[in-house]
Amino acid sequence: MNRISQIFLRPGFSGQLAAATRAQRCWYSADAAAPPAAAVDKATLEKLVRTNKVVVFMKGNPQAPRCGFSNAVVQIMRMHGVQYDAHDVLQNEALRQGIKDYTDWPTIPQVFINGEFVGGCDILLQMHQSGDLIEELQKAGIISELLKAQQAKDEQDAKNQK
Amino acid sequence: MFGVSFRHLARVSGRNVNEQLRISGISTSKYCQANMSQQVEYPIESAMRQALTTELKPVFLDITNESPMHNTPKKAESHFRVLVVSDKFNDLTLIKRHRLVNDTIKKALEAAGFEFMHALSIEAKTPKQWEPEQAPEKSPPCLGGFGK
Repeated sequence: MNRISQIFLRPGFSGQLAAATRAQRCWYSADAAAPPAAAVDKATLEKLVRTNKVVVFMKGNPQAPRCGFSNAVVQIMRMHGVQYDAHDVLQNEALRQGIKDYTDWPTIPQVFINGEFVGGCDILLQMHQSGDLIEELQKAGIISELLKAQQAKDEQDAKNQK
Repeated sequence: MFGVSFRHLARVSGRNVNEQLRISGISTSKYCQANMSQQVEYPIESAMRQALTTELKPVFLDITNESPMHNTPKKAESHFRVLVVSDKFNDLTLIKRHRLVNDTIKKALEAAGFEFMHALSIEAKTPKQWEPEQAPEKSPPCLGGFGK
């Protein structure tokens, strides 16, 4: 008997297959009325948001964001040269629900600086535009690349004036 | 070789037509809202508008249904952008303003029997921070994560 049919004949295989299809289905219909997965609890999230100075909950990952708003956050972080932990909520429905409950904030992405919830894409974008983000990062001990570039330019200008 | 490039062109122009349809879809939705009294074609948008108007007494309010930008059925109400200009924001931090808008909408939708929408982008300004000619910001394009 060849290997494939052996696998099919193995007891319990059909059960595994059914479970796998079920899991798949849940994953794809995360937004529909799928039975809600138990949300990740508060204590776990409290630790998770402090694993790095900046922690981002997003759709997709920084290399391949799956949502325009998440992508905007990634691009802003890149401009400021920030190293951060990113969590893909599309891979984990319990995390997706957990983080929304934790912050009482209905949408993704969500950004944490020093363990504190800062906001979503719109807020981060406005903070970036107003310069507040540079300050917030500084409070967390992160010097933004944009600030460094500005300082370098100022120094250069001062030298040129002499 | 030519066949391929023509087909390619056709596909591109087909996409343009879709693009135009989408844009007109957005404007139709706005038009319908102006004539709300006749029929509630966009119940979520209408509930949002009503709640934001009564709760926040905005100097200016713009609601855009951006669902057609995403992979959604016709007349979907999943993605929204709001620009609210209100005195109520005067002493509030950015995050508190957003929470106020979120909560107002959440309560109104709950009362009307709807779940919170999939995506809501908020601009919350005080009258001082806003000029009447200022258009709302634009949302980034969809990257395909919706419905996943």
